Amino acid sequence: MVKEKISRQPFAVLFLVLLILYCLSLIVPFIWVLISSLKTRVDFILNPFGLPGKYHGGWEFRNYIDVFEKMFIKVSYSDGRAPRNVYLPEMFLNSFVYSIACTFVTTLSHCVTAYVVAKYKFFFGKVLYSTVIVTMIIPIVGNLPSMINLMNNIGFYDNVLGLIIMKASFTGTNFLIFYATFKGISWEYAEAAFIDGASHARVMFTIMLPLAKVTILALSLMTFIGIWNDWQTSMIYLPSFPMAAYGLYAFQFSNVNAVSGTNYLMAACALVVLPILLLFIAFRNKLMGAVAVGGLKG
Amino acid sequence: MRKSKNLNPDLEKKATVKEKISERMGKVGRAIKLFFYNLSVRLYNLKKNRKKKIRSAKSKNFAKNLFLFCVLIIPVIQFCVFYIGVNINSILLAFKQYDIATGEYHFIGFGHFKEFIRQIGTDFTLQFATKNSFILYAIGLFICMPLHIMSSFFVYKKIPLSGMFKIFLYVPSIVSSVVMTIMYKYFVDRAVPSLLNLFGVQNVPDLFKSQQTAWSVIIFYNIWFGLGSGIILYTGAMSRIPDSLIEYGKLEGLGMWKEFWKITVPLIFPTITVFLVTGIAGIFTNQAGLYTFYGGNAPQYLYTYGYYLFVKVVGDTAQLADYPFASAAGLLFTLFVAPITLLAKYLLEKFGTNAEF
Repeated sequence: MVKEKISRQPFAVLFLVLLILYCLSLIVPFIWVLISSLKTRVDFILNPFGLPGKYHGGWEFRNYIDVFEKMFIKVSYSDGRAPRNVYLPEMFLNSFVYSIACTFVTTLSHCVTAYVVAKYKFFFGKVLYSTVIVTMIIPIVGNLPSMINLMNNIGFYDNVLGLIIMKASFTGTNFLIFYATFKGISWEYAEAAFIDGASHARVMFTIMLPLAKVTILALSLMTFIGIWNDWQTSMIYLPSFPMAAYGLYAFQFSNVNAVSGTNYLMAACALVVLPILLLFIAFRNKLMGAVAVGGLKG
Repeated sequence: MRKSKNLNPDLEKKATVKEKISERMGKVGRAIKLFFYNLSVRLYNLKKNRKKKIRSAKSKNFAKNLFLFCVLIIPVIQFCVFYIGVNINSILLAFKQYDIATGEYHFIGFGHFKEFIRQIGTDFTLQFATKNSFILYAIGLFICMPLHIMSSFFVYKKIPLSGMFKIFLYVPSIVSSVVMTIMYKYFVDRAVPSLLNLFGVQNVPDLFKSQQTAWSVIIFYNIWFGLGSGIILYTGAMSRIPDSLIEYGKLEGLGMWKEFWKITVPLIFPTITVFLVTGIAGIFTNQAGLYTFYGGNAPQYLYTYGYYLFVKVVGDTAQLADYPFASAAGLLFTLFVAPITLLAKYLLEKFGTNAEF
């Protein structure tokens, strides 16, 4: 890459300043959240913008333990069971189970369909490819009521397995990324295996998919992060299986908690972000640069 | 793994540990494989009269078709139910009415459509929603998008600190929107007033509840939160531009500004097209983060179409009786926005640059 000298470009300097300000606007609230999460409730009210312990208490690392032990949301059932309180550890468990299962199924669906469409010549494959493009171009507004209605009718409402199946669609950007990846892998490996007597399924699972493992890993991570963060789906379709991101949302409007208070909410925020940040730090080189959308060519 | 041996002693250490582990695992694996192989040979020998299998072209073709069928059957059924089925159901729902007494839906014709069109003209909430949705879209198009492209360009040109920018710009797209919103909400609500007090500004209004400030606060949030994800995709597209083209531009004496207009923008135009085309529907789907800020109780003057449709169906304010009405509204919006989207795609592809590289 060609480096530029920007000192002679006033516009560039302006944007540099703008970007620095933007990064600061991301860091400052985040640090503020971390600091606020370590205050006592009284200290936070008296001293919202300063280090913990100025007026009351000290650095309250206990807040995190309290949130983990005492923060809950109330879950009521539609089938007449008594409502119960769900605590944060259970929500985390729900989030992990659902996110991992859903990531696996969704990525498999995208990957396998894209592989077949990219590597086998058959009429239906072209139909599928066009379908993906068309569904991406044609915007459909307001089919949420219909989706809830349908999920209710087929018994998938408030059903983890049902929701995973609903999410396992092969359409979307991920399909196109996988499609491009498989198009770029030589078919000769597969032909060699076919001559040795391998079946189609064997070639797919033991030869072609491992060749695309970088893409698979990157897209799985993106999918996982997306699902972990998606609080609305959990709120709409899984009322009795609350996940951490939804718990956080519900918690800010709740006033029945033993740990209600902004300081606790901030601690909960930090806890919900933590797994994602760890994932990002561990895999940032794999994630960054994995996303590129070329165009919508049908 | 072997290649990295000379590069770094740390890596080498890791590699030897890994090799040891994989060697041991390999032994176990080989033993298991051998066991199964022996088993299969024995089973094979049991059937002594087995005919030798010769695969004809026909059976090969059959095997291929069977494989394709097995792979595609589940995704195709999933698509039929959850895309085609849902959308057909949505159209049907728009013509139905919910009967509270029996709990069933029955057909009523175009009633909801007429009602919605009447309300767009008279209902204050919807009038606010119309105004706000179009303002948000215009801001996205004329302020955010140029900002995204310009910032991406500078990050891509490796200006000082660009590595740091790249990492930080990822943050809004990996951190849950609910966390970002809560962070922003409480920072604006609690920290900003006390900061302003420090600078001598007294009596700061409740920024989220005062009618003068709430809308600006929401708009600022949308610009702030949206910046990151745009930059990721644009820098991704820009990094695919071949260096040779840029070198060529340099030799021709193109400055940074000209390079941006003459090389970068034309070459990433397909990506810009994607944003332009898919963004149009955003007029009717953008909730502007309102549900995270206010739950179902956002003030009327903040409504957008996306939020309006959402709270009709989800949360405490939702009623089953409103589902058909929301479907009808959605259908009308789709009928309005789909032709515009297709036209925009056609025009952008016809008149925009579409270089292959």
